[in-house]
Amino acid sequence: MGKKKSVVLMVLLTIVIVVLCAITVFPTFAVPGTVKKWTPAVMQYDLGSDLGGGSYAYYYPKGVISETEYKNNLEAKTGDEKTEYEESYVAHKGLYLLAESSGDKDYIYANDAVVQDFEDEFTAAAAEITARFKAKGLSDYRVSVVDDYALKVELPASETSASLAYSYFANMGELTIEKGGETVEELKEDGAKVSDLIKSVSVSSKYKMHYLKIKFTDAGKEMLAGVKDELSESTSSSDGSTTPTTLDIKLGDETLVQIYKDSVTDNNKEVRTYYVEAENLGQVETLQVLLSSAIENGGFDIEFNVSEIRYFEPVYGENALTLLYIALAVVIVALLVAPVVLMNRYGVVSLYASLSYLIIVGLCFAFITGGVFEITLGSMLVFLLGLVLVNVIQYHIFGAIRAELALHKTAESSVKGGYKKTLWGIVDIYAVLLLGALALLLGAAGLHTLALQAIVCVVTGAFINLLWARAINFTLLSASKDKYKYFRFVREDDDDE
Amino acid sequence: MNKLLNKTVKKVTLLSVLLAIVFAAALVLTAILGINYGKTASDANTLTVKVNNFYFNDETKLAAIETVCETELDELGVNYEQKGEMSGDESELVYYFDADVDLADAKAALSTAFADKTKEGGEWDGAFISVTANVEVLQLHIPVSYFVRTGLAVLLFAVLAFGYTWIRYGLNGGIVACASALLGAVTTASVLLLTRLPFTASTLYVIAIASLIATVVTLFTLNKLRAKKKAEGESATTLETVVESTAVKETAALTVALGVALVLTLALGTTAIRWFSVMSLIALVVSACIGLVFAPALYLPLQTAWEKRAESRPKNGYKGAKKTEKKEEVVASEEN
Repeated sequence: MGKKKSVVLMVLLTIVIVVLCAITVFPTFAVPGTVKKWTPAVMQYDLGSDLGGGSYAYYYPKGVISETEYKNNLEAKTGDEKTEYEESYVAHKGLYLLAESSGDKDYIYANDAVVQDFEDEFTAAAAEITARFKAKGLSDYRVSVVDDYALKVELPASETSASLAYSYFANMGELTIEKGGETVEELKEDGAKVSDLIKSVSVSSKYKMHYLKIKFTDAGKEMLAGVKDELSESTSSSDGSTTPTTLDIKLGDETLVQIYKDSVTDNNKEVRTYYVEAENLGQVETLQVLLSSAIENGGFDIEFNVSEIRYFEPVYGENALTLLYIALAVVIVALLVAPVVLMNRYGVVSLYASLSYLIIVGLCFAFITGGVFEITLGSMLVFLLGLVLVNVIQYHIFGAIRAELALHKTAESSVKGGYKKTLWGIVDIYAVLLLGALALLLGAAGLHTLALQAIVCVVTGAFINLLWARAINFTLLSASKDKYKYFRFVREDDDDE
Repeated sequence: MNKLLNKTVKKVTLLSVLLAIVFAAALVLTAILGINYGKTASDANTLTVKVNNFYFNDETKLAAIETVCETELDELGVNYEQKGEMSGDESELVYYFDADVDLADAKAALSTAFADKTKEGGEWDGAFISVTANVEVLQLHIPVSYFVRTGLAVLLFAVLAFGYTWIRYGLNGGIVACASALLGAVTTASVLLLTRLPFTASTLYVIAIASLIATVVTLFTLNKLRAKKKAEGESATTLETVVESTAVKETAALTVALGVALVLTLALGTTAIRWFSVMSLIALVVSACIGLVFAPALYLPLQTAWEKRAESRPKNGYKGAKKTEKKEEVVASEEN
């Protein structure tokens, strides 16, 4: 390649890299003359609760209220009403429990003790709710029992369907299937359960849409075949005077799924419904977890009231992310400068390689399907490891090229030899790392996400070390006047001369 | 470094014993004391201060409330504070303490302090502040399935690394890569358990990544070893070849660069990031040592035994029909 061509190519490449860097990291600002706001890719990450905070809500069983609610209610009452209210509740740590003396049939405190049935039911329900949140596969969440008879659930800010999860997972009702408001015949028999009709519930995807796949048992298939023709089509227009006939899956009083005729597959084996786009995948996953839990473990004789959702910043300081970005910025600048100092102009190749890695990984982390790519501290480590490895391998190649130059070969021949000798070693490293990243997909929750991020880092690193940096080196070397200075190599005089 | 490696390469048994001691110590300590989960993943006593939004959303007023809380609670040792903001009128400040801290007096003291300030005509007239003491019992720490699946993932990686490296570097290379992957993870986990650092879900990430780092360092060495033997035409693997091929420079570059990055995040980060950085630094050093010290020490006796066995095999000169045919063709073409 000619020197002019090389210079033009490098200038163009530099412009592209600068623009992409700006897209990735340029700080937030309001776009003049518009109401829009510029937000760089690094500020669009879905952060785990250690970096981005999260939300929490309290679950109070029926008959249990918080001390604050009790006091507020009490303050609003006067005279006999106040005394009556006072006698209706018994204090228990930071909670107030509805007593038998209230005359309410839902009392949970009698004869100076908490009603045993309530206690057993609460313990079982708390375990079930915890299992539901666990099944959501979040990287970090917290479920705790507060003052023995209430629950506190914390979810990370990256959980986009948090409000749905809070309200759905509090529903401990019995699962039923109704057609046009009437329980289906198959469930009217004594001891009949929904699990006799529904085999499993899972989430599937097709054409970038995610949906709920409900598989039926043989009895369920018969039921579907029997009612299918009576169901309305989801596309049928309604004039408002008639209600479409659907098969409804209800948990307690809440309708979770409506099945139309066209949701049932031709062989009546399964139902495909609740289609959502990628950003709402969390919703359909929440529904799947809830249905699976209700099918497997049935209903509970307890009701929960969910408090309003409260939002919190990272518990170890609101500035966690800012400080982390400052630290990362210093690290990245160091990784950009150090190779240039160590390897002269070949270090400039590493600089371009690092910037390219930063851009590709930075953009992938921000824009690969929302909820899946939660950024945790593990993501930071895997990102840094990839960035350092790209530079170490560049240094490894540099060492091989210098070794070739030391054999009195020409610069071109040394570069060729250096790359040739290191090629398969680098392929091996990235191949094994890719296998590692794929193996880590077996990990649960956050580790699974980390594995996906590791795949992005490994593939990007391999592309940069094996192709991209090599091409940049070729272009830069072509534009260089002194190819020995390029590698900071002093050619020794031949003794024979 | 080579002097040190000259000594360690010959001592695979001693190194194995040392590693076994670390594993055993970690197991015993964990069996006795249990895993030390972080403060955010432990049972806790809490003090909840509910504040109406008129005061909660005003930074100066909220800071004043926090100052009162901190003055009263400082001596009790607050683990961390959580600000729960909501659109309704019951935003709250939750202070977390160890599960054995008695908060009755603190609750009373705070209630009195706030009652005095919020009374009609008081300093904070218009503020509605209530204080409750609560007990939080965690339903689960890190689910057992997270541990099991991390273990399985590392095991699968070790098997895959063995398969790939066996094909590329022979059986002994495969064994060493597999051992590095496993030991990188297990040794890091053991050391982290021994240090009693708070064990969170992030610790599992560190353990998994340690496995990758140890294997990368080992691969650098295996690659150099093969290149060296090829360049120098050596048939036998000697101690010198292994020592000289150990990827000291690459490992040093990787450890120093990543180490400096982690020290920086340690210095600038907040508490959660600091613990994570410390764990990552430990993982980096441990996995680099496995790749740099243990892997070559394991490789040398394996390869020497392999070569000795190959030498002692009877050489009948049989090379198979295809190879013989090829050789004959070459000889014929040379003669022509």
